[in-house]
Amino acid sequence: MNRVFPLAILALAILAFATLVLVVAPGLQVGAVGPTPGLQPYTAQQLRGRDQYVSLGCVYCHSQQPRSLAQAPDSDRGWGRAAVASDYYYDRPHLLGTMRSGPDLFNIGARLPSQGWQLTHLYQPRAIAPWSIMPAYPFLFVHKDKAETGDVVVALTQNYAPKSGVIVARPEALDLVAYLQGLKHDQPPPASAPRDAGYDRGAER
Amino acid sequence: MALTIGSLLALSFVISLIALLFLIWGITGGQFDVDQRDANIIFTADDAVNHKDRDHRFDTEAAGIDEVSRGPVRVLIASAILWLVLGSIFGLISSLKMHWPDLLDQWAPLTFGRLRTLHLNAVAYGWSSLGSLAAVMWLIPRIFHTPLRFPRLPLYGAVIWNAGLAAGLIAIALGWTDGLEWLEIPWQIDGALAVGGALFAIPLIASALSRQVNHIYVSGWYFIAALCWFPVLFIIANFPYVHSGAEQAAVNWWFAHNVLGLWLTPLGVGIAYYFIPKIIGKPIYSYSLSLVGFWGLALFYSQVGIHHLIGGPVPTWLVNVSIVHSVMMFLPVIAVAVNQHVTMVNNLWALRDSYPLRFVWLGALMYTAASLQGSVEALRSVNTIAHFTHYTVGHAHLGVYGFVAFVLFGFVYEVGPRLVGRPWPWPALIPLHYWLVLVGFAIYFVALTVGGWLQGKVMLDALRPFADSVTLLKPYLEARSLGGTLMTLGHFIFAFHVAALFMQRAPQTLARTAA
Amino acid sequence: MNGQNGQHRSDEHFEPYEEERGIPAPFYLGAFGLLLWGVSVFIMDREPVMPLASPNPTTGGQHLPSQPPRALGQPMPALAADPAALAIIAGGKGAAWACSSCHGLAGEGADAVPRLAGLSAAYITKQLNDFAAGTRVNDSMRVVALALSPEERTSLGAAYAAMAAPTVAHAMLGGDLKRGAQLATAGDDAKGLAGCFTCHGDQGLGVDPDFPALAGQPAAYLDQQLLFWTSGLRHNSPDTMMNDIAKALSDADRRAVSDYIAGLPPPDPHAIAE
Repeated sequence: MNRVFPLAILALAILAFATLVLVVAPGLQVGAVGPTPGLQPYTAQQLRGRDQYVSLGCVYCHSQQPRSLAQAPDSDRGWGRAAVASDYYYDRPHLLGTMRSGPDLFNIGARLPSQGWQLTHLYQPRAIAPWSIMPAYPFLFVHKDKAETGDVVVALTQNYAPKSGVIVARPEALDLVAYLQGLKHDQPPPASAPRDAGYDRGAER
Repeated sequence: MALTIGSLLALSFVISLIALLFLIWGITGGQFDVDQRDANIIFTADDAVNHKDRDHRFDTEAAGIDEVSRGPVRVLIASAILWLVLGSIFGLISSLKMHWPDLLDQWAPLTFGRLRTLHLNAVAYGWSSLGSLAAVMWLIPRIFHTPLRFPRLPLYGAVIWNAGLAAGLIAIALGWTDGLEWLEIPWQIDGALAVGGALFAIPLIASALSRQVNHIYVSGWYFIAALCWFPVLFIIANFPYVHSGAEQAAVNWWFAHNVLGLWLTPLGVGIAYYFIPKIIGKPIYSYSLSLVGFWGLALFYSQVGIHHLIGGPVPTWLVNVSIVHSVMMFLPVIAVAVNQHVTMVNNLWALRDSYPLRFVWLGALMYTAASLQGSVEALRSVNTIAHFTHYTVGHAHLGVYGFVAFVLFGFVYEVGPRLVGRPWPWPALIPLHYWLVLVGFAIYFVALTVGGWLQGKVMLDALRPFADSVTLLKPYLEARSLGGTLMTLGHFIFAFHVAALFMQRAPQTLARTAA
Repeated sequence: MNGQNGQHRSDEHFEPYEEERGIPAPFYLGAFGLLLWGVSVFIMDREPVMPLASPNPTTGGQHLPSQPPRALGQPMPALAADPAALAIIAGGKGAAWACSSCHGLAGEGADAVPRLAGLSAAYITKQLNDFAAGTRVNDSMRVVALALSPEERTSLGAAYAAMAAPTVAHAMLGGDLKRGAQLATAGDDAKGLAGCFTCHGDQGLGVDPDFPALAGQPAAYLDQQLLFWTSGLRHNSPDTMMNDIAKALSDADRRAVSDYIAGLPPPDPHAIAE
């Protein structure tokens, strides 16, 4: 090959073709489907909590995309039904994730709805599950001598509780928990919503 | 049969493949005809035309074509290594945090989710990208037999790129991120990287246009294509307020795999394509295979990204496209493998002689391995186990570290003395670095591959609680930290050695190398 | 060897190039094979033959011979329960989170959280004791149970046993409800399975003290417990009866019976009292 411009133009044309297939076409197909019926938009507090989730990088260990039972026992673990494209209508940025160093969180709001549990778990995961390798997020909490009105106190076992005083959730922690509590996907998915059904064909259910 | 999406896809797949074959056939045919005459035109009459090996000689030192590119290459290498050291530290702490989760947990910028992101961005956009660009700027004059055009632009590019990356990392540390894997740097800052990338493309294209040889060596194709692709990719993927939801996930992985496949890979392959035959002193096996390798990479690699969403909330046909193209990557990978490894295997004696060659060839070997592994990993049956596990992390490091970083180590060791006109101050540090990173990476890769696979098997077993997948992984994560420590040590030695070479004041002669 | 090395060192100015060999024939063969494979993937996987496994959604219960569901109204806490127990249910105690924060204000349960309202007092107390002793494994419930005194566990059991709550459960696993009904009522002779109701009472309403009510438990919870019985992670029944039963269920059967039982009307202590 001896010519620069044909080389560059052809290379860019191939990229344009790939963009058409991988970006534009699915964008049109997914865009044509609205939100899953019954899916609630995030509240202002949940959006703030979602920003915390993004900024702390939760997505690097937690996916939000259960697979179908034909592929994996995700629903058996209580992670929720198989996700479809319309479940993510209000998501920006998307938080599908690619790692399960921790469990999937698509349905965490239905699986572990307790605010108190979530706060304890964020403050120190090993206070609940000794085997957990999740980071603790002590900076989302504040140590006070005495709880004031309106404070949400974190329930802690003796070995993780402070010697005196109480651990109180900062607004960031409460927002994050509100977001997690809102992650419920028990709505039946619309039939038109795309998902990869490549495993479902002829599989034993 | 009714027209389904599947048959349409099959048709377009066949058409694009046939087009590719015609293209390659056309270019090869034309090339073979003119090549012999070209040889006569390019080389002076004294060079014996029949004596092939002697045609392919070009004395860069005598031609003095490094004068203007020396500065930019030095700046690029120095900044790349700075990011390597920083990125290794971030990576090592992240790794330790996975089995000592309470380590350094009092401050948000040091939480795992941010440190891991700092690691990825520092090594991908700092070390790998800038290091490869250093190699490109160094090789341009050699491939095109002409000094680098617009030699100040790469300097500006390096400054802008480094500033953008530093700003991006600070933003991520403070929690300001776009939130998409590989695209975390806020889009307001991303402009710097796109502009920086373009500033490297201009000198490359300009030098290519004013080259003193007719033929563009295969490395040049890869460099030209990569530098055209990167700004386009980066701008489309980072365009704010356009993408959302499941569609954004598709864009995310279209980009994230293209930044490997159409940016780091062509740069790394191009560099290996130059140094393997150059250090051995023997030609590459086949021009036709080079063509297949290059155009196959462009056509297939650009469509593999959605294999990160297998089983996910995107259309089935889209996933199938990426699976098929992932497997089709066998073709360009084998083409490149034959070209590079046949040359090497026929001249194994050279390995004993040259640590740069060891680095570069091992890198090329790991490119072959990572690519074949990636193709297999995209198959539904394998993906269902490997996806969501540390197996993927091992695979990613085989590509970006085993391949790109090793090739770049080799490049720096080969070129360093020529860049500054002094020999390496402590040649014994080179094998030390080599063995540290090689052993470290072997531990790293084996641990994550085995551990990740077992992790995936547990997660697929409904009878085993999720906790088992975590507890099972712990020893493998500890082994990963051990490997990572060795690699980081190697990087410290490397950085120290390069710094000593660059900053040495006393003039030395090359004769000392022989001593 | 040395000679070659010497030559290698001196060859500073060698410029890489490619020889003009053609493409090896096996390469064409491989390319052709991959091409055929790729085309076949596209053609064969055009549409899924089977619909999604799970979204056979909330309407599952309509096939059932059902009593009119209790109207969704105010949750009905136990009338004569220990106030201390009610305080723990509503607000928690020490390291124990409020029971209601997961199990609902009236003990109605949630997606994968079990319903407690109307279960036998002895059963609930035994489970709490087992969580504390580690004979039933659950990280979160262990923390809760350890924070409660034996007396509190007993009074919580009594409080929940006296509660009535509307059901929140429904079929959600895509199970075959007819098969589920068969397994629950008659069992499967071929597999040596007696019907669930043989022990767990008519319509799964429970038999005190060892056989808890199943009716109206969330499908995901039932499914998960059956898996735990299968694997042996749960082993706190008097003998290995539940482990053996669960092992005899296929994946499809397990989901079918969980979905069917989830759709049944839950136990109602007030109705019994009337």
